[in-house]
Amino acid sequence: MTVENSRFNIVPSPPRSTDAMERLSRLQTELVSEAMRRAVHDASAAMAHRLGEPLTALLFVLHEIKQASERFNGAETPLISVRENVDMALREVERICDIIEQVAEPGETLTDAEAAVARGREAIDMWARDRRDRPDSLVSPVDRAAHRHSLTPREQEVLALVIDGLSNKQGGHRLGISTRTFEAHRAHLMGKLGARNAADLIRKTSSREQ
Amino acid sequence: MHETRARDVRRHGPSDVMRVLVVEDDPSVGAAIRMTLEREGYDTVLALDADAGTATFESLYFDLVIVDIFMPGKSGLATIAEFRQRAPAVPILAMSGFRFRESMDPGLDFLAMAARVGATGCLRKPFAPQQLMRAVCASLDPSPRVLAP
Repeated sequence: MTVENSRFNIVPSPPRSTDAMERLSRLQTELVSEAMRRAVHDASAAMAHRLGEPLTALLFVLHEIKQASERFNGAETPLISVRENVDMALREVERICDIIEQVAEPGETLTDAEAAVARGREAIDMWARDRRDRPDSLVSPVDRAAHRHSLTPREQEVLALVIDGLSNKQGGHRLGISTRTFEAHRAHLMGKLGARNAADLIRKTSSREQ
Repeated sequence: MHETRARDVRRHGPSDVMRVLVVEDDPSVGAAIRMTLEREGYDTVLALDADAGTATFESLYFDLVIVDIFMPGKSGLATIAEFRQRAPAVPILAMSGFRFRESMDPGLDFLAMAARVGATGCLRKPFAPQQLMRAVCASLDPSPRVLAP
């Protein structure tokens, strides 16, 4: 620890009168109160400042425990006093944890944060349930397949035409591409969906499970 | 209320135990300091706020006062100023909390303020028992004051 405990090389001069003393005292109190308010406004400074007290108590208590154990040197130790000291040390550590908790979530209590997380999680669950349970009429099989298997827009078009029963030649003609190109897209999307043939492809896209 | 009281010099004899007043609002820190001082042979009185500290200071003789400058309510600095006025010869150790090395406005240097109102030494929290005892011994040392390294 790099704390410096210095002695000031200053000889204080006594004040001239008690009135002046009172005024000075009042002024200092106001100034210091304002200064303290400003100084401790910063969250990290406030935390470090507040940690000073439990840490000091902790240092003293642990020193006591160390001394107690050294004093008795393996022989029968006064367990009650050691236990009391350990309890005190734990209490100070808990104080430190509380301080850190409070600074980590400024202005928000633990219950508020937990409630917010729970609400968020609930909303996500509801959305997921909603998507899963939505009737087919609201979401087309192609959209569903496209989303799940990351189909390109062209692949989506090809899938839609294959489901409708068009041949590769008809499909290519519909999209203004060559038959071979249409076949290539079809092969690619079948690979993505894991479908072995057209029937499989149709089954996969109309099924919820995919 | 504000008249300067004569200190009872008969209080000190070779067999007399040194007495320390600790003005500290945090009960854990106060208890810890008292525990250590008592073990080191100092009679220790604890005050939990500035008013209790002032009342106690007026009722007993103390060889040393340790004051927390960050206490709720009345400022510890005002208390130090009062003690200095009442008993100019009694050393006063100011205890402060954390402060940043550079980023703080020099106008907010509480320890310098403590020195200006009459503190003769300081202890910055957190501090260990060894540091407390060094500061206490240095404060009570009758030899000429020297800045600690």
